[in-house]
Amino acid sequence: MAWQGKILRVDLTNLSAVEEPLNMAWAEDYIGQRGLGSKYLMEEIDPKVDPESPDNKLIFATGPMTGTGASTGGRWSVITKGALTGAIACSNSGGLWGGELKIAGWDMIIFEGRAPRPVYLYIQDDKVEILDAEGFIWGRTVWETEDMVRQRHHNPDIKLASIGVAGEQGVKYACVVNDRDRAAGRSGVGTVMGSKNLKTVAVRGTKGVAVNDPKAFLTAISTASAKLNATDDAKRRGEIGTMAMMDVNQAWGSLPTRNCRDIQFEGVDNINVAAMKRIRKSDGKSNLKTNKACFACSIACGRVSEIDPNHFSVRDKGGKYTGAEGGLEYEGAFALGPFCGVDDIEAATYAQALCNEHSLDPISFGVTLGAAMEMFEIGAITLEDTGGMALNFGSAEALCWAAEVTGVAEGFGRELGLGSKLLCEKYGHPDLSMTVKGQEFAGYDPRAMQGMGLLYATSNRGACHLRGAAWTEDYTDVSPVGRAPVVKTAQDGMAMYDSTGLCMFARGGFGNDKLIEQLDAGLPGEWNMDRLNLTGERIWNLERMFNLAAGMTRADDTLPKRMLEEPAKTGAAAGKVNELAVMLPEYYEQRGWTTDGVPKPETLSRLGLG
Amino acid sequence: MKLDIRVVSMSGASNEASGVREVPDGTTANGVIEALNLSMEETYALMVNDMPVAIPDRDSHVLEDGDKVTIFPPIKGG
Ligand code: SF4
Repeated sequence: MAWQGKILRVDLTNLSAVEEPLNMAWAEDYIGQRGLGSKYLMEEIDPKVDPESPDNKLIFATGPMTGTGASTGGRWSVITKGALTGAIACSNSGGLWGGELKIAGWDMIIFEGRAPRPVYLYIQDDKVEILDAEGFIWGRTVWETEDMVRQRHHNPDIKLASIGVAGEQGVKYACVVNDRDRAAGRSGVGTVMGSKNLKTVAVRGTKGVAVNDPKAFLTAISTASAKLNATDDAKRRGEIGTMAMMDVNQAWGSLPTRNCRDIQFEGVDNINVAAMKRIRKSDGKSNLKTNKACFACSIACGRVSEIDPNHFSVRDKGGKYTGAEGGLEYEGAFALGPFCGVDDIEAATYAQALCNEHSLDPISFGVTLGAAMEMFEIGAITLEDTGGMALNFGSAEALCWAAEVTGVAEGFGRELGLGSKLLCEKYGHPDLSMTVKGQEFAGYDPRAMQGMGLLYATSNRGACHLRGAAWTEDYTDVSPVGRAPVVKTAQDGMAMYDSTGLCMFARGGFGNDKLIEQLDAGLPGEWNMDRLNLTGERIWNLERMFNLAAGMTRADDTLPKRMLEEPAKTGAAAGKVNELAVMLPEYYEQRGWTTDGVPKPETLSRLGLG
Repeated sequence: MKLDIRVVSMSGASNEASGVREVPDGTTANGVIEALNLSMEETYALMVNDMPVAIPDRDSHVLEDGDKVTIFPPIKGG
């Protein structure tokens, strides 16, 4: 019936694991993945806990569509209290790992406590083992971990979700990397994994996933795929991937550049789609090699790149980084490129590879480095602080060096590993941190995209572009008018969609009708748009209640001073700032919240949360 | 009159619609979209000399000789 009906509860403190039934009443109300994981977290931990303490829990959750063969049904999420933010965190990943866990028979894994020594979890269908990582994979990179575990267990088909040294050493924005280059990237979910002494979750599944009405399901998924594959959107995403956004943001003037001092980047032509495809003089090849797909995906938006073997960053590394590896996606590319003023695509690709290898979120890493560069340029960070490396904007050398030292948390890398907020506070310039709720900006400047500003300010996991943006409106005019209801609806829609196990990039292609058909055939009960919309709103409000209980207030729904007071210099929004003060009260009203941003009792009771 | 038109291309190749184009005097912002055979529903943003022109204003916004027109195809972020 699409849910396996089974969760694995792992008590790391006592090194034991038990199977328990999935709470089906909650599954009906929260679907799976983001929604259901958040419900379990809310019920099981005190939102005030220190994220890196044994009292926090770490949940790896699939959605009901994960592993079923539904179109793009390979997504899974990590839910916890974020180490970077102190807010509820839910980071979504693709690749093959989520499908494998589901096929092994599990909807979800809940990790509790802290292991007395470094361990890893090995799941083969029903067989679950907690094994020692010390003297084996602890201290190793994500890539080494994948190879070594497969080798030890004599099975090349094992899928792994791991942390590298950054996660072990408490870098605040460590992510969980699966299948070499896919990541549950944001909010420091890998940091929480490291704090639990958990190195990797290795899974081999051979069972399969049953659905409610197999015949109707087969029809639903094949017609959904056919509809999706016929769209220009799917073709374009396969051909160009997310990097398309680089030229759009440059033209509109919403490309965060040099820690948001600027909003357009003069070097963009060296770090956009065209640059990825350009034939290099040095070796006659291009950076972009091919594309690739996650589990059950026909879009294949993932980039596969080859770094120029003559580039300074990889020349002396014995060929380790010059094979085909996961390449630049827009969100990593803006952060490692324009945000640091760097227009060297090979350097950015190398930094991205290090992020995958060591489990760094490339967005948070690049945005933190951009803040460090600005502080270096104004003299707040010195050569003495960095140990001799000049952190000037535009320095590809500094970018590569910073990724190397942060990945293994050495020297100034430990400082960069604090994240932008703590780093800027430590060096006396908190206003230079481009963060909300402690999480670094994504690749859209809120001065030129008013709705994006409202989204960053109100996103439950801190600044994020994936929590429900007003894309069409924001690329049509730079006015704040009408953004509040659009953002609210989009947020609820994403909360619901992130709970299904499907990829957001497919939604526009197959549309709501095919979404419903797949869910309705796969799951027991009746699924329609009204139910899904209400579920999304329920999830959003549940996350909000977690954050309020954790101690957050209206004051946390804000943007950096630069966004509110320093006008954009060029582009569509030249002379403008973000008008959050206009949008926020309207947004609270739309949500049925008080003027302090607290859900009203009638809102909670309408959503079944009261 | 002549317009300097740029259709922001997602593919990295230079879009064939881009370049300097001769259009009749009095052409409006929406008139350019029509002249390029771009679908009205599909166009998100349109800028004239780097300033956005909102959808309701596009019928009345008359272009001038030498204007730089930037048009974005529909795309959502990621
Ligand atoms: S569209 Fe891209 S991210 Fe989504 S499932 Fe397919 S390959 Fe993965």
